[in-house]
Amino acid sequence: MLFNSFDFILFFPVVTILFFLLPQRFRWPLLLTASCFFYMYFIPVYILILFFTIIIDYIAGIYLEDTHDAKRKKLYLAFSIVANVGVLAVFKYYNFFLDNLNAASMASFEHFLPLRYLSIALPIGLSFHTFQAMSYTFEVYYGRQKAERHFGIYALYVMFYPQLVAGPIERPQNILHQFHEKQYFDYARVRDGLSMMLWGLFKKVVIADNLAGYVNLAYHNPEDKTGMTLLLASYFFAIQIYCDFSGYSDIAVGAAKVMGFNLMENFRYPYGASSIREFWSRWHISLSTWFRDYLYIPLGGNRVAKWRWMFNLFFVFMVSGFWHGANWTYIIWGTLHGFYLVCGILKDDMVERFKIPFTEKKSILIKAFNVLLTFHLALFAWVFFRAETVDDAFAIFGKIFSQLHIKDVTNSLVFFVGNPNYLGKIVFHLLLVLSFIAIDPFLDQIVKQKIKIESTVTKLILYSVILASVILFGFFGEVQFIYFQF
Amino acid sequence: MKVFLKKLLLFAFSAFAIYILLLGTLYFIRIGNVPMIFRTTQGNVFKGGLTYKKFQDFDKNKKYDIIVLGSSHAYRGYDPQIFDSYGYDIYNLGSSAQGILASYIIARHFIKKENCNTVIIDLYDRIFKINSIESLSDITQNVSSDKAALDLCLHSKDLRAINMITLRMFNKMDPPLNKDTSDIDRGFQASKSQLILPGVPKDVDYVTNEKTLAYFAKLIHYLHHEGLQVILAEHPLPAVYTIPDFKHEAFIRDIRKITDQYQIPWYDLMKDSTMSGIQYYADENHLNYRGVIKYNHKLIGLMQQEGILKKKNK
Repeated sequence: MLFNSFDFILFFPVVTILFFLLPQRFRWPLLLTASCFFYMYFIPVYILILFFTIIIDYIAGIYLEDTHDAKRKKLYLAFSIVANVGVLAVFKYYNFFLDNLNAASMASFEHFLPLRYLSIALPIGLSFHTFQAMSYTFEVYYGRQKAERHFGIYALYVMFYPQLVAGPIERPQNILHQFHEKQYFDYARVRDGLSMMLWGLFKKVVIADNLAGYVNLAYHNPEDKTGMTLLLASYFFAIQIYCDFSGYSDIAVGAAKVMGFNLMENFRYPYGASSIREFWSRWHISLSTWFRDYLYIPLGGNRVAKWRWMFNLFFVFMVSGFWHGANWTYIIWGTLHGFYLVCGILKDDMVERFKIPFTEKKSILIKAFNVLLTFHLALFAWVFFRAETVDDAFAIFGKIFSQLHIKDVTNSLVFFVGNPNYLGKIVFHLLLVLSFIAIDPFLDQIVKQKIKIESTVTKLILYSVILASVILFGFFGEVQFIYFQF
Repeated sequence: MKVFLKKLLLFAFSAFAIYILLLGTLYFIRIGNVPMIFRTTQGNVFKGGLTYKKFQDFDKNKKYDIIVLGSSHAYRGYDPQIFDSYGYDIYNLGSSAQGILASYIIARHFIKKENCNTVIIDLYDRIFKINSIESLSDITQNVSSDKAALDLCLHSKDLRAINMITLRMFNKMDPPLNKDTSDIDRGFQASKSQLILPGVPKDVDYVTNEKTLAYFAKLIHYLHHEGLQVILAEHPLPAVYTIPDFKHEAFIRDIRKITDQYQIPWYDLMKDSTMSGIQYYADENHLNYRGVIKYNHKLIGLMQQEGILKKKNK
C-alpha cells in the first residue's frame, strides 16, 4: 500500500483508532496483522520471504544469547547473515551477477551458452527489512540487545508497517521495548505526528511527484535531449529524490508517532551540509549509521593506518551504492561518494599541513561556498544514480559539458510541458520548488518541534495551507516512492 | 480525545476555507482567457466540446432504440445516420477514455427502461488498462447532471476528483471554454484522419483488473435489472495492432464469467479478416469513416440475422 493512496487514507485511521481502543494485549496482533495487510497490497506471496527471514533471525537471536561459546556465536551470526544476504542475492542481485557473468563469458568463450535469468519481481523494500533484521542479530551478537523471546513482537519489529518498505532502518534498542510498553492517546503527540505526515505528503505529492514527470522525460533516451534540458532535469532530480525519500520518512515517523512510537530521524536538511561528510550525517541517517556500525567500524573505521582508513571509507560507500540497486550506476554513485570523502580527508590534511588561509568555516561566504560545492558534488553523483545505464550517465555529462547554451532554457521548459501554451504549468512548478527550498529548513524544524510556534492561529493557517496545497497541487496516481525499489 | 476531535474539526474547516480561496483565486486569474487552475492542478479539462454537447443534447424523456456506451471506440464507431437507414434511433453516450466505472455511472443516471430498448457496450481489451483520470475529468466537467458528476467522483476513490468536482461548481454558470462542437451528430464524431504505417504501436497487453470487472458486473446487473437488452461489441482493429490471441482469450474468459448468466450476445469483430487493411482506420486504435460504414452495416446485419435486433420499417 502506498502512503499517497486513497487506500492508506482509510487504512491509517482505522488501524490507529482500533489500536487505541484495544487492550494492550491485543495491540501487537493488530499491528502485525495490519502490517501483513499493508505489505500484501503489493505482491502477496512475497510475505513468505519476510516470514523466512523473521523465523531465521528470531531463532538465531535466541541461540546467540544462550550460547557462551565464541565460535558457536560466530557460527549462528554467520548463519543469520548468510540467510539474509542469501535472500538479497537471489531476489536482488542474481540477475545482475548473471548478466555480468554472461557478458564476460561470451567475450571469452566462442560457444558459451548463456545462463538463464530468474523471471521474478523484486520484493518491495527488501533491502530495508533485511537490514533491519540483520541489525537485530548484530546487536544480540555484540551483547548490546537482549534476544526477543516473544515471536509476535519480534515479527512486528521487522514488519512494523510505517517503516517496513523504506525505513528508517531501526535498531532493536530503539524500537523493540516500545512494542512492550503501553501507548496512551496523547493529544500533543498525535497532533505532532499528523503534522509530520502532512508535511511529508506535501513533499512527496506536491514537489517530488510533480518534478518526476519532467525528470523521467529528460532521462529517457538522453541522447535526444539538449544539455540545458538535462542540466535542469538533474537539478529537478536532486530536489525530487530528497522530497520523495524524506517525505516518505516523515510520513513513516509521523504515523508511528501518532500511535506513540518514536522512530529515528532519517533526514536533517542534507542540502544545507557544508561537506560530504556532513551530508552523510544528514542524508538517510538510518542507513549511513547502519553501515558505520556494522561494516565501517568492524573494518577498523578510522583507528587504522591512514591508507586503510581511506580504503574503509571507499569500500563502505561502494557497498552502500550496491545496496541501493543491482546496477553499475549505483555502484559508481556510491564509489563517487567514497572518493569525495577520501578527497575530504586529503584536503583537511593539506589545509593543516600548509596552513592554507581562507578555510575558516566561520566565514559566511566560505560556508555558503562550501554548501554550494557540496550540493553540486552530490548533484554530480545523482546523475549516475538516476541514469538508466552508465552509458546514459556519460551521455548526459557529455551533453551538459559540451552543449550547454543559455538560450536553450525556454526550449527546454517547453520540452518539459510539451506545448508553449503550457509554459505556465512549469513556471508555476518552479515557483513552488523555489518557495519550498526557501521554507524547508524552517518548516522541517517546525514540524519536528525544534522551533515552536506559540500562536494557535498561525499554526492552524500554516497547516491548512499545506493541506489545501496537497489536494490542489498534488500529483496523485500510482506513483511509487523511489526507495521502494531498493 | 474531545479536544482532539474539536481541533480536528476546526482544522478541517480552516483547510476547506483556504482550499476554496486558493482554487477560486486560480480560477479567476486568467492568462490568455485560460484560468490558471488548468495550469496548476493535475488532470483538469475544459468544460465544453464533444462530451458537453452530447449530454446537453441527450433527451432523457425520449425513447431511443439503442444507446451506446464506451470510450472513443464507441463515440467514433457508431454512426446514427447508418442506424437511421435501418430504422433504429441511436444515441451515443461514449466519451473519451470512458472506462467501465464511468459507463456504469452514466448508465445509472441516464439510461432507464423508459428511455431505451437496447444498450450496446463497446468493449475492448485495453479498456481494462486505461488510465481513468482522462475520463473522470471529462465527465465530471461535462456531464449534464451534478448528481452523476458527484457519484462518479465518489466512486473513483481518486483524490484528484476533489479538485474536479469543486472546479465544476466554480464554472457552473460560465459558458464552455471549449467551444468546438463541430461534426457531432447525436454523440457520434467521426475520425477524419487516415492511418499511415508503421504508426505508433499500442500496448497490446491485457491484465485482469478485478475492480474494473466488479464494476462491469454491476453495469450488466443494472441494465439487466432495468429490463434492457444488452449487446457487447468490439470493433475491428488493423491486423498489425491486434492483441495476441492468448491475451485476448484471457479477456474473453473474464468477460464471459460475468455475462454468461445473462446470455448476452457479444460481437467480437476485433480480428475481422474483411477489415484488416489500414484503409479502414484513422489510427492504430480507431476506425475512420470508411471503417465505420463497413463495421456498422456488418454489425447491424449480424444482429438482425441472429434476431437480436428486430427489423424495423425505415
